[in-house]
Amino acid sequence: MMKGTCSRMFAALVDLAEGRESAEAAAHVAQCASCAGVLRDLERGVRSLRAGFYDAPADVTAAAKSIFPLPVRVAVRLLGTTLAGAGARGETAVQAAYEFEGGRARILYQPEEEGWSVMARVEGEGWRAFPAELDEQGRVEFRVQALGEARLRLVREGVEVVIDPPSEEADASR
Amino acid sequence: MDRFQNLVYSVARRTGLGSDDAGDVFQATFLALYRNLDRIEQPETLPKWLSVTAAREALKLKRNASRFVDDAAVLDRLDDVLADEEASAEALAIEAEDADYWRRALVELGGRCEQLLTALYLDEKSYDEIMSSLEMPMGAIGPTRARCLEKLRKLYQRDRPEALDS
Ligand SMILES: [Zn+2]
Repeated sequence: MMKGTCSRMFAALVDLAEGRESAEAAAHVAQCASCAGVLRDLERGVRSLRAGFYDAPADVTAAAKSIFPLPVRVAVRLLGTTLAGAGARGETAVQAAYEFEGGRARILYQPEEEGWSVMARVEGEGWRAFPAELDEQGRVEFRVQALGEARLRLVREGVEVVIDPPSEEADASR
Repeated sequence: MDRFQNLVYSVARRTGLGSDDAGDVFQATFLALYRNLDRIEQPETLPKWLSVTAAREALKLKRNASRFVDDAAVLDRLDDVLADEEASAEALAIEAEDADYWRRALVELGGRCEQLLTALYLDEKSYDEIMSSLEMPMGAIGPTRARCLEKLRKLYQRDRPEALDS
């Protein structure tokens, strides 16, 4: 079937999806697999929208959240920081090493043209990372607008580790 | 929870339950999730698992609330009733998971298109009402809604897993 016919047919496919009649479009769909696929999607979409979406009320989500015990936050020790050379915007890249019960992390905070990139390598079994996932080598990378937002959260079985970038004072004391 | 609350609550509401019952289904679903956390190995199966569980809970609630279960004849074929219920739960879950992709596409679409499609399909407003509430000329509504649906479909297509293709 010619492409021009198909694009001309789209408005009529929407009519069909909404439950209106269009003999011409119905005839076309019967012999055009591509438009039949589009129609199937549109029908699903219109049906889904018409069925409506319902946000759970706040008290309902709060009650359900209370089922899950809050993870215990374990202490993080900053083992040390090193300046890792000048980066963009005259800011300096910083590398920091941390230790906590059940693991260690080494994180490079690197200034970019806009914001910061955070690259971490996590040692220890079973950790899940936020805001991005660990790869098989335990590495994770994400970007933030400001260094202060560069928080890495690690979670495993009821335990949570929160790693914030080293503050200026911590740097100065070294 | 914030990511899945709409999915789970919508399953319950679309089976026709009121807000109190839907709240019970919501709670029961996340309780079941908590009890089965170790058994759900792949995070990508979670939406399906949650929607099937919510659908089962909702249908069970409806069955228990309806008087026809007292009927001895129905009790005799309870196995059939339960099998039907399981099939309905599966179907509802597939529908709900698909609907959630459309919902997220709609949110991402945003702007005038989100307003128009919401008014047309979710709020079931007439063209007359839309003309005044969205300040749109009557003749523009039809073509705009088609364009918006096409954009919506592209977003949906981009994110939807192949498994839903059939
Ligand atoms: Zn075609």
